Amino acid sequence: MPDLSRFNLRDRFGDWWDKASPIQRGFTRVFVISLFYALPLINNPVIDTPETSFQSVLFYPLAMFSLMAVGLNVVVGKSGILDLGYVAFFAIGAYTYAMFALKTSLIFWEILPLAMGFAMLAGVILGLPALRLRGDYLAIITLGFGEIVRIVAINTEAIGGAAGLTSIPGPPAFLGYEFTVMDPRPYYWLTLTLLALVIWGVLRLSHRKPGRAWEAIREDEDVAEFMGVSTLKYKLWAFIIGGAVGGAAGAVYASQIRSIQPEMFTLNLSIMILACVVFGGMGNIWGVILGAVLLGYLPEKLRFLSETRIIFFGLLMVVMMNIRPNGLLPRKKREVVGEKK
Amino acid sequence: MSQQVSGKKILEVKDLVVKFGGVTALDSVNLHVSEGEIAALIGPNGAGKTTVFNIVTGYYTPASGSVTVEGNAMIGLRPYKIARSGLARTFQNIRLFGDMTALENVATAADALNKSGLVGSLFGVPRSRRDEKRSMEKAHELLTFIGLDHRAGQLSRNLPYGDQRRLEIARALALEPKVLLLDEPAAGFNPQEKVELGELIKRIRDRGHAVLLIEHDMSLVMKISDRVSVLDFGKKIAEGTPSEIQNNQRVIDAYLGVAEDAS
Repeated sequence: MPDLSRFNLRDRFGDWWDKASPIQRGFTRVFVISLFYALPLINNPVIDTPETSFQSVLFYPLAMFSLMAVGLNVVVGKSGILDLGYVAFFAIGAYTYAMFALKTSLIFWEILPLAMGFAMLAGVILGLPALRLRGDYLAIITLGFGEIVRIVAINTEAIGGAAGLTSIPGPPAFLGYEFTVMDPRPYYWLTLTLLALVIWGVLRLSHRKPGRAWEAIREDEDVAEFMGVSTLKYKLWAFIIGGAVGGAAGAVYASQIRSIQPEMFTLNLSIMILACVVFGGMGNIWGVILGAVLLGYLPEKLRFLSETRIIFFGLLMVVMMNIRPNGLLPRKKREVVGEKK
Repeated sequence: MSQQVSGKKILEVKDLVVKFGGVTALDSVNLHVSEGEIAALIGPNGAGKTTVFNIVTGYYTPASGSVTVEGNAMIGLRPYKIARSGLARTFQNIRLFGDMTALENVATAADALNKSGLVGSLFGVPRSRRDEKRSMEKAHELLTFIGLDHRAGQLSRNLPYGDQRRLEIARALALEPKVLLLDEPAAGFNPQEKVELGELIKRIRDRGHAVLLIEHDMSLVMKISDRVSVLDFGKKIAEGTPSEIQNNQRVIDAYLGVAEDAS
């Protein structure tokens, strides 16, 4: 039996990628991206989900979880800050979109940056005091923050209270695609586009000064500070970026679901997204997406087991984490031995 | 006699008092490091040597006293600001960024002197590209300086012990320190490696960095230092050239102990 704990897809693929010509690389990129855009058009009984529309599963949870997991990964995977209240940013994005869409004449494309902005602001407000703490203490503060946002939403009548907000308008048509309640595909394509932009940004940052600063903080925060890294600044940036992505996800979600209630934004969702990050491979953007896709997909695929499916789902996670404790695709830097050209 | 150094004082520590609870870890300690100098700080275990480093680099705040670099006060500044103002250190127990490559370890410290920010990096503005290039070139230059450029792409935790120790020095040098603080750099080295380390420290001095060295290996200290200060139980008990220190009775007593009947 091959040693599953040592098999590393990244090395196999990475070697090929390093040797590939620019044309091969460009071709691969276009092919993979088109494949993902084409997914809702494929009608395949093997990947199809029973009892739910595969197209809507693609939007939520798959694309939504992936987007949020990539955002949370900047905080948890890159910088090593355990954030148990990520749902707060998702909620802030959703509520910002809903309130502006209901009370003003602004359209989706104008509110999306606002929703991200509000979530970023929340990141600063939470981060400035909280990021002076570390480890467990910081995790507990983020946990509390997630709960506070939900409870404030329940108790604030101006934003709908416990009943939430309903009849939220969707985005206007774009390139001939109507964003309707019935058709989840345009929302999937929208989320996929956002996801691609976020991946592009995070990968750029990862390979440059901010990425090194985050990694140094994750490895040893004290030493990072001794080596001239402003740890508070970079941890705050991680929070802000994670917040912006969560806020964008919330806005898209609210625009599709059309009615939101505080009870949609519970600790469970924070834990679920964190599980995607840990299950997939903390710190590796591709692993995190794989984790999100699997953890989103499996409960839907296992629907034929009805009530017991969550038990099977849990069992599967326990087994997987035993076989690959660092996640499906762990963060692993490819070492270059000898002179680098 | 070692060479006489008449450079101006760069690092000055005055009347430093540090208390941990009821214990006085440092008691009115005065130290300085001058330009172009290799100064050593020695003393028995627990004398407070590493505490001096932790104060100087801003990890602890002293009860009283001052630390200045070229006249600028360091007390109260965050450690990263102190690191950027010219004090860089290594650690007694190696503390590299294990999951980063040797090159990235050094580049992380080199980045600290670049002004470009996160948004610039995201959009790849010209300044950020220049800074990125500068960090990488500097990291390669420093790895070559310590003889490790052939291992630039390896994870630092997979490097042999001696290479890890030297990599820590390269990482600290990337901050272009006015004073490089070395905390027991020869720990765990064999005699040959100690000789090479001595040469490396001299080359560092010749690059224009003053050095403050904590070390237990007396032959290394006595061979390369211009001036030696001795700490014992948080107090400075002697200061002078290596030969003066070797013949100082208080230092000999601190290291060897005083017989009951002799005191």
